[in-house]
Amino acid sequence: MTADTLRDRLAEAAAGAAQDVPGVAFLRPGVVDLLRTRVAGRAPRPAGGSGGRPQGVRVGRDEATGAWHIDIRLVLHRGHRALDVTRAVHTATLAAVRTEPSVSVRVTVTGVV
Amino acid sequence: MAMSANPDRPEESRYEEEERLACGRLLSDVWDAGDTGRAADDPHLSVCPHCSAALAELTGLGDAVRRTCAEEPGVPEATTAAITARVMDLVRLELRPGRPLPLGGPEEDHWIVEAAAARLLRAAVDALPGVRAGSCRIEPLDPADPTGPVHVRVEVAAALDRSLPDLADAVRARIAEVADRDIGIRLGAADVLVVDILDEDDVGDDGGTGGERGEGDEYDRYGTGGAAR
Amino acid sequence: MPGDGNQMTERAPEGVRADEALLVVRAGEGDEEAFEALVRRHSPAMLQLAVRLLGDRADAEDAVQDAFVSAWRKLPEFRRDASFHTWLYRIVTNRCLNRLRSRRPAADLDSVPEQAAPEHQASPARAVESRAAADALAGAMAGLSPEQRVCWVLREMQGLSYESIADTVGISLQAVRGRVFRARRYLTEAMSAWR
Repeated sequence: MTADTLRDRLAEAAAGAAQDVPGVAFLRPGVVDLLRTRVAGRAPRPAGGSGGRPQGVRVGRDEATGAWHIDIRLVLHRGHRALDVTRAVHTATLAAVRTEPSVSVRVTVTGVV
Repeated sequence: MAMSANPDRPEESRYEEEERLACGRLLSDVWDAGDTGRAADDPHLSVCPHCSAALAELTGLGDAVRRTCAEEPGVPEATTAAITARVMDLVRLELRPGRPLPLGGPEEDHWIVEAAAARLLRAAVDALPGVRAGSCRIEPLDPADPTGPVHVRVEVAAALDRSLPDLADAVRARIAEVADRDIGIRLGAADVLVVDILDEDDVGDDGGTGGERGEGDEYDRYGTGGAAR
Repeated sequence: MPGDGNQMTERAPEGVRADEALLVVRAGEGDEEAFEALVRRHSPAMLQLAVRLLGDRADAEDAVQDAFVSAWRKLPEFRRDASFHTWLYRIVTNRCLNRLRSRRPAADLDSVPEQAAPEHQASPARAVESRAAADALAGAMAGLSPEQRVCWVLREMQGLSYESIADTVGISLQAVRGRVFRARRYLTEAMSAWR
């Protein structure tokens, strides 16, 4: 498996795990997918969405150590404690990519709905 | 058409000289008099056939404007809703860079952007009777320690049914409670500034009316109120 | 406040302003819900303004939409002591002025007044006449330069003072007076041909 396809697979797994956590409204900038159709056509698509890679998740690798770093940005549903949600996302993400020996996860709440 | 809209003519040219009526009056002066209701003060204007014809032309134009405005369809609620929805779709796409604030302990790599935390704190302050939050800024208490406790500075408009120190204490207590229970940020200090007064019409109105239009309604309940200065 | 025609001014009612200050500050700090409330509150008046300036509903909706998105971007720099309504009014007006300028080459100046003043429409019934007067005016307005049209609409349809127009469009008082005067002269001529 090449580095890029592994990277995509990790991003996919992390996004899937994060999205299922209660209190996560959506990953950002995945909001594009929620747009009413009429605007979607003319709105500029945010960068980083090429190749079908999930939005709101960035995966990087430290070439020296081989450690992965996953950066998750999410919009929170009102009524859920932000820290509880980010911790649950952290745990779920690590579980989803447990095949990799060294992974760190950063979770950022970028909005509230 | 003898007259054209000539867009190339410099706007600074003295338009007064462009048209003088046969009686010697400037058309612009005659129309100004008609415009400001001073036409009756000048007997010449009603006697002179040139001036009265010029005034009649202006009145005729004014009538057409009134008819046009009367013929205009109003703006349907559905149009307002559609424009609002389209604008907000675009606005939500704008990724405003915001200051990240640390969630949880210093060892955790969890963050919340300032605007999101501020919204939660404002909503909590709004829930207090007789208080509405305005500006809410949150930053690290110690700029050298971005993972340390935060400093909240919130501005409120409030009813004057209690002393300002009591009010500030109540707001601070509310912020401390919500910062921990609903967000998970460590509060180092909170400043409360009362910047406006809510009058009695605004107070006790929190049950609100009209919650039918979806998100954003929480603001509508005081849309017709008005705070005294 | 749809339909109050000439009564419209560039200022919001006093009661709305104090409450609005909170919403504006919140929106400036990135609170989207606060901004949504502002958009909902101001879009009817802004749409009415844009329809009058542009003479086309769909175009007006686009202009108002663009203006609000632009306002969202500029809000962090909005001065607190200013009136949000006036500020927005200026953004919408200038958006519309730019649209009028960009569509300019498409309009055939000489042909428009003739279209607007068909000879065969003499002595129509009164109800029809009112409609026809509106149509004739709309047709005649298409012959104004963008600058004349904007100043004239703000003066005659929106009821703004010359000073407010100068401030809104960002030109001198003298230039506003000149544009309104020329627009009136042009329109009375075009309308008298219709009558």
